[in-house]
Amino acid sequence: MNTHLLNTCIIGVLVLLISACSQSNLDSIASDSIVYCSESDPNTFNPQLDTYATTADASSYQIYNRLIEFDPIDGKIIPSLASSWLVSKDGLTYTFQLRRGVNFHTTSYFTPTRSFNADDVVFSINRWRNESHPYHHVSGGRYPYFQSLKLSKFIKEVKRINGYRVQITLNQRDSSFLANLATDFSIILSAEYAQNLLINNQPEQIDSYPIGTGPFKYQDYTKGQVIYFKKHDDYWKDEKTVNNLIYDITPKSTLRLAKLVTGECDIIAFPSQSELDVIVDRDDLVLDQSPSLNIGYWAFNTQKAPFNDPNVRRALAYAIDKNSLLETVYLGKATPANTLIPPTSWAHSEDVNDTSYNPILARKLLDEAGIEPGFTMTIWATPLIRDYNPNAKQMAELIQQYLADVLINVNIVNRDWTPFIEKLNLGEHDSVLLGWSADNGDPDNFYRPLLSCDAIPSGTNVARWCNDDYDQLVYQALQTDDIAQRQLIYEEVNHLIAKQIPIVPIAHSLSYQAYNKQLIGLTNNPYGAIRFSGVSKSQ
Amino acid sequence: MMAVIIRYLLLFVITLSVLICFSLALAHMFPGDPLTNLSGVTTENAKVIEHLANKWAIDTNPIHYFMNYCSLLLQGDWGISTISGNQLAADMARVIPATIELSIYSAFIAICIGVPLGCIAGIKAYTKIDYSINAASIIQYSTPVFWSGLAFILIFCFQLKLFPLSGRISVLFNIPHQTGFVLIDIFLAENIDRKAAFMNCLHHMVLPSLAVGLVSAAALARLVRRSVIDVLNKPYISAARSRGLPFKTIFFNHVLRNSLLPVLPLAAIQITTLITNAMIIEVLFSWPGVGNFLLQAIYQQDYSALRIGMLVVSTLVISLTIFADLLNRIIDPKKGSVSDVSI
Amino acid sequence: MSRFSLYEEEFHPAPWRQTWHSFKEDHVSMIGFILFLTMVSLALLAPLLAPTSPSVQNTDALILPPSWDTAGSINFILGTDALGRDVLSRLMYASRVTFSSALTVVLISLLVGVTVGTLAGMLRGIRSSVLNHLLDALMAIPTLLIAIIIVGIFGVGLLNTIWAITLALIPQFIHVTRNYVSEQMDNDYIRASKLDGATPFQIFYYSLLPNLSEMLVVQGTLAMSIAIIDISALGFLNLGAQSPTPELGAMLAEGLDIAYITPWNIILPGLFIFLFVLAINIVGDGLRAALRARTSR
Repeated sequence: MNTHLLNTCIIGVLVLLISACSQSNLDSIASDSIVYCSESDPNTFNPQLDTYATTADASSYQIYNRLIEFDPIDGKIIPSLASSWLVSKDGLTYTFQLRRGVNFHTTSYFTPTRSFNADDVVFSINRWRNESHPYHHVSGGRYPYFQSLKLSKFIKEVKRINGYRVQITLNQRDSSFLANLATDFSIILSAEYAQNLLINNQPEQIDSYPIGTGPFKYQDYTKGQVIYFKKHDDYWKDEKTVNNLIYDITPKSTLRLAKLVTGECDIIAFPSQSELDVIVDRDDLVLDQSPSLNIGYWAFNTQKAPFNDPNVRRALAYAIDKNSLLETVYLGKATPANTLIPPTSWAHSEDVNDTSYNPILARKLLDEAGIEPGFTMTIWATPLIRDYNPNAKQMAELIQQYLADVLINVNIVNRDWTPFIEKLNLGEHDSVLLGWSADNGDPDNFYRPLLSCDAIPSGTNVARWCNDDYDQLVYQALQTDDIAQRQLIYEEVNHLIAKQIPIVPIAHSLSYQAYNKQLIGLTNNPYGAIRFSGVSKSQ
Repeated sequence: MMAVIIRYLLLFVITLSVLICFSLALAHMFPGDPLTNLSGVTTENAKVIEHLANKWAIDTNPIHYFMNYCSLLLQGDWGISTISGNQLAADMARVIPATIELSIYSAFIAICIGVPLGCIAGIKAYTKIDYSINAASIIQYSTPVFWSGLAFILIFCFQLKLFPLSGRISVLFNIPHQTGFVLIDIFLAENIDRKAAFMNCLHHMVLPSLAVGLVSAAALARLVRRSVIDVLNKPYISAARSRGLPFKTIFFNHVLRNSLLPVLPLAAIQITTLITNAMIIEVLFSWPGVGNFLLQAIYQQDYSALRIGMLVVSTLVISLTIFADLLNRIIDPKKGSVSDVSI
Repeated sequence: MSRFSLYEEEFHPAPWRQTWHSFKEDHVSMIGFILFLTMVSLALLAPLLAPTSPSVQNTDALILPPSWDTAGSINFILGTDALGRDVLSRLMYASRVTFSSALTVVLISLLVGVTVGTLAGMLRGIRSSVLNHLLDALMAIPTLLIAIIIVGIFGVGLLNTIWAITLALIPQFIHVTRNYVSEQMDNDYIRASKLDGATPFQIFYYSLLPNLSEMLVVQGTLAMSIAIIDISALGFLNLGAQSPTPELGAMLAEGLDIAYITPWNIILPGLFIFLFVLAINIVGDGLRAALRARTSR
């Protein structure tokens, strides 16, 4: 019979399977590595250039340090590369004393000859501040966070006093200035590395082959797949840190969860809201939830007719049932929003008029505004999964159904992030579902980036709304440190937003972190990006 | 013999130029600026645009334009990806081997499972064994590959935790890219535990190769079965039997070879199905191959990457088919072109 | 057939009847055929049979398991999806979309393929090997690739994927028709028609087409199963039907987001695709066997 051939084949397959099944000896490498399943590619390794959270997650706290930073627990500003600082009485001069003996990364592409000093600080700030700086236009010349805050106009001068002392002078008071220096974006680059690159005529490498002072150094990156970081052995802070940090780029949230469950990842980015129960049910996984400063909203393109008419925007806001959006998309695990800022912030106003679900009123308002039944509009649903909007596509489908009830047709636009944000910045949308997470505890971090005129070109004001009264008020709020006084101004601002409805605020959500129990020392940072320094793995 | 080879070479060249011509046309058919679709560079700088227009000869007469495009392709200057800015030639050198690798594993599984099962079904034709093999193969053949892939993931990765679910190798191993074939790269790599890496790699390939291989195995089994039945009815088999030869000898000396030969050209057609399935499975298992690459390109509207990806994949598939056809012609000169597709 | 025939005449059913008879004798084929009819009527009668509209969102009944599960509800026999839509209704409408698109694809490609294939087979001069081989080469390009290109040019959407799959299937029909026609052209019955002065069209219509039709039905079933799998695969990859259009592959992709909570949302659409394709493959197999039985008789 033909058993001989068959047996050979079967044995061959079996040997293959058995050899494949035998547990390979990965443990020694695995115990000294953290695998983080991130959700997308960073756009660059320099967070100055981008407000995209993934960019900050991949670089901000891993590769770099800031002068000062937020304490992740109480939000206070604490020393980092600046060991101390001094603010003048008039609030215009800031003097920073820098830490000594801080080493930059030594990598295959750069060997530092000196340690960190004042030149690096001056270089890093001047790069985005000064348009004539040789590095300003490298990698596009857009610094969206700083530009949306007009920070370069606020700063008069950045001066090196001596090797370890830097003085920053402002043109006018800015009560959020220190907070802005502590954000993910205000990182310190190496001036020496920049100089070397300029000599070799490859300045753009500064953002793709990064050098910083942070706990990890860049090792390797394959787009769409994986980023490798290695421990920075001469890191100035004495912290227990693993040897290898690996970002396994996994765009699908289902796949990230699966990898967490199978142990291929130690920690995942943005667990999907509908899957949280799966994580809670498992003993080997931890789900951290903490209140976070964020907002998910539905923004109208206010530069496009008919959405330039506040009455049309109000009508559309009345047409949707926020509570059912909250139930469906956030599974009830979020707070309904009535204005930009979450209730935990002191700038929140409780008494702002919110639009409640009223399709009949909505249709009436639409009729008054001259919107015919059968009008068609687009809703752009962000492809990103974020705490503030865990499933924008689903939300868009729900809104589509609500608007169909008031006789408005909706086309949902789904794109990948790069073309999405590109076309969004061109103002091709009618309306968009997006959101914002705070980078610092100051309420100004919501008001100016999201709705001020300056934030339109920098791309964070997707409503493309420019209102002089609004701008005047939010800048006025920066002139003082007195919280009670600022509170009054923001109260007025909140009412202005509710009257004009450039965006429909939808929800403030919790922030989630899901990881394997083996990870020790992980903190949930409510102000911005994830940090892996000081995180280790138990056996 | 020589004439046949020359004819096929000619055929290959003609097909290739049609494909290149088509890929050039694609740059104009895709939305956006043709120059961007060719070079991958988005810029408003007039100087750069002029330089690019010169380089790609976009405003010259069609023949010069085409010849220039061909010579750029030959030089390995395929433009860059609009989204990532990578050299497309380098990207292709990374993703194509991954797909070929998966296809080879799958083909191996398909042959190891399909041929023996087909032989058994053919020998035991019209018995219970035959019917059950036939039923299994029609069921497997009717299962959409993305569904069975998902089922594998849910059962073997998520529930039983037997196999890892994504990629070619654990991310813990940073294998530098050399040939693109990860099994070879492991042996070229330094500073890693080769044995552990090799095992890990085998472990990763089992599920995706099975998902792709089983579909082709089902098709192959049916082809082999039909062919074995046909051969068994041939007079020379009766002759051999009447001489009293043991069935084992008859089978291995006469049946096997004669029934596998006609299967070859039909199996060659399965190459396309196999590669298509491999491209879909890549997406499920995050296998870093060309299927994943093309889909990312379409999602991100990266038209220069699409243009090159299309050219490379179709060239790959077509040259494989032509090669199989040639092989078939050389083995069996009597035969005409590939006959009817039937399974 | 009556047992006591008055005349001792042999019964000669028409070829189609013969095929049907031998098809009917095979139980497996008949089961496949019944399954096929069931699936098709489920799809075509969706507006009559479906309990609700496929797009009604019940926000108070999200992600329900099927009714036999303890957490299920009898109002939603197969449960609901992440937007609270009734899965059974969606499945029926989705089958309708998938099946009718596949049918359109097969009919168009059959029409074009047979026309071109017959011409290529009848006109001897054109049968140059270059054309033949070019066609073979075209056949080798994967559908997925053609679909990606078409979607790249015209954007995502069900209609564009229908075009793509049609384009991919046409060469197969051309190939089969051409081979068959060129084989038949040497036969005596064609020669007889020619001598009778028949025009090429008459030869095609009266002599070739009746012989061709059975082969085309078999080829059509094969194409149908390919078309269904391809349409749903493209839907699954988010290149085909877009929400809120229900389509089996797209439903499967949507179900993926909640796969760990209710695996039903990926099991059921997949099962529907599988049953459709299985039924068509069994019928196709039975037809082929029946044809083989008749021609070898």
